[in-house]
Amino acid sequence: MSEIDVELISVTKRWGNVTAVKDMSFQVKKGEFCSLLGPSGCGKTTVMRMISGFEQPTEGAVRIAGEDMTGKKPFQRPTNLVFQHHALFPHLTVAENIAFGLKIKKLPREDIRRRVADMLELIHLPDVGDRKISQISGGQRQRIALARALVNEPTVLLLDEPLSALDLKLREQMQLELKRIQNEIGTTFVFVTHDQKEALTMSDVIAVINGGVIEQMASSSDIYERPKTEFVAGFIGETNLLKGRIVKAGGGAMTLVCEGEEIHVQVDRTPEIGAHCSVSIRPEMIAWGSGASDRTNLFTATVREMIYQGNVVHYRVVTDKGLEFGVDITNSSGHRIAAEGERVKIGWPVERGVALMEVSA
Amino acid sequence: MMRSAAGDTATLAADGARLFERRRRNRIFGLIAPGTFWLFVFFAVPMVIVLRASFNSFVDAQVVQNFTFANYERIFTESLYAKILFKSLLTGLAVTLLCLLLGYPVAHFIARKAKRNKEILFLGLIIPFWTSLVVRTYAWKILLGSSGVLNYYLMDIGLIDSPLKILYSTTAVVIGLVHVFLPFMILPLYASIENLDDSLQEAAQDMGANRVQTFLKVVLPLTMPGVATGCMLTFLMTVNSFLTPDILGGAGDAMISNVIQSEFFGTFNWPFGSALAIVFLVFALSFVVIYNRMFNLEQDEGK
Repeated sequence: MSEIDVELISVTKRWGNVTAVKDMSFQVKKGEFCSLLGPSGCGKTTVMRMISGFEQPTEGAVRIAGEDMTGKKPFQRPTNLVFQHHALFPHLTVAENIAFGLKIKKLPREDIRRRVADMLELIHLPDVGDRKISQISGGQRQRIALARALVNEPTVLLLDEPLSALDLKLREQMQLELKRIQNEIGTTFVFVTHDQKEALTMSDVIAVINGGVIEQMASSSDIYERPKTEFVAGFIGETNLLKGRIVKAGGGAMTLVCEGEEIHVQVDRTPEIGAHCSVSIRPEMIAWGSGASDRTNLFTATVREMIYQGNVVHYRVVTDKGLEFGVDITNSSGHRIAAEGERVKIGWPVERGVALMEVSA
Repeated sequence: MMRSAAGDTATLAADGARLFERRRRNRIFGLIAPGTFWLFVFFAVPMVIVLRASFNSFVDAQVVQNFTFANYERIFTESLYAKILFKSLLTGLAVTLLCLLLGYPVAHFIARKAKRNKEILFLGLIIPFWTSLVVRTYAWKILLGSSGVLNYYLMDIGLIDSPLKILYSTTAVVIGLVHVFLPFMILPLYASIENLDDSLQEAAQDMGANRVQTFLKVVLPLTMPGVATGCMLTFLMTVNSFLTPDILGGAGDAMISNVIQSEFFGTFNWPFGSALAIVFLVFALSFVVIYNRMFNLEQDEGK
């Protein structure tokens, strides 16, 4: 299972003076669902186009299933791509679209017919084969586009924000559908998206890309719970970023002072006293009222703003020294909703905060 | 009270909608009326006059009011006219095919490859229209004549010993017509190639199609509307061309319009000329109808 299907080795892509991807290296294991996540213009689409062969790296190499792809055209690579706007051929029927790649490979007619039928079965659309592309809905089109790519049995399936044109409900349905199909066939998926929720829902591994470099590549839960950089902590979910100067360190923990308040956090290695550092604490990790009394990080604060969101109550609170927090409290039977101006106790255990290293540019 | 108020509002709304619809119709009528009037007075009425004239007789160089099918009989019995029609259609076919073969790469280049130079290339397509067709056609005479530029250089580089006889031949007519109608082929082709989504070609390549396969299976079928429009324009205009065969063609290169013209202004046999005009018009119209049918059918099948 530790076979590597996609490997980038020190890949750089430049267009004139613009560097879209900087010295990027990563690996995707066979059968993994890997998401390339980042804001628009971060280089994630360029990475995908270099894997599929529509772009060539300026420096470095792309390997697919161990084979160097340098100089290989898209039609010579064992990859298939699902396009952002499906790119189905409007002059062909659904079945003819799916059969396109197989016809190019000159497979026997009977094989083509069977494999197209299998694909339509896989995407749960067995009866639309004879329809024209204009006669099917947006969600169905994306599924057909998926089938058209998968029928070629690629080593790696690349997906370029295929769900971004769909409305929210359909998008959530399709996320689960994609995950199901990937589980069923076990093909390696590389999924490009700017939607962090989408990436968390589907991926085994997420590579967070910013400014042409990978900020962090890890499992969904590690990306969310143990972000390595300020960018990752801020881009995925909501967080409180507390910036300050380190005043005490040792024994696997450190203390920094932020707006005059002391923050305690665990660290892997002892940092330098006096250095700048930030700590990320998720709003839902902060405990409230009596639940907060035995926490290492404990503050008395005033409610500045209360936003009622149904299942969650979102507060903005400020400590006496002026440190501001966002706090999300589950609206359960035990929680009495606090009004603006009310004094509350908040806190979190030392292991909930995450110390973030400075990004070395 | 509430109910009747609501009813009144509904009636008012319906009245408003009707009034709006009537105004909209009036406005559309106002917009299309001048054009319709123009076509009626200067196209439909003359056509009726020509139709009526085609049933008159021509006796001793005089037009005689009559109602006879003799003119039509002559067109369908004398083989000369069928030959001219056939020759015109053949020339039309050749010119259309040449324009398509020459025009497609040009249109593709302008639509896909020329990024910054697009405007300049378009200007190049349109500039010839700033010069009179007569002047341009006479220029071909200078180029193609026995002692013309082309023959001079061909002999100069020793490719030929004696001048090629191109001028006053079907070849000259075809060359001239391709020159005149090429832009009419390129423009619709350009429009449909420009409309083509890049990702469709990428999708074809991604699924293993090389350049040729991508062109034959994706680009060409999807630009068929442009091909169809360009071919139809070029073909109809070629078959109806008058000036180019008149200036560049020989005795045997007369096309439909040249024959009709000579009936009107050579022998002054207006009734027979009218009958020829009507017959060829019917031919052209039925061609358009059949062509549209074929093309629409293909569209529906999605092949």
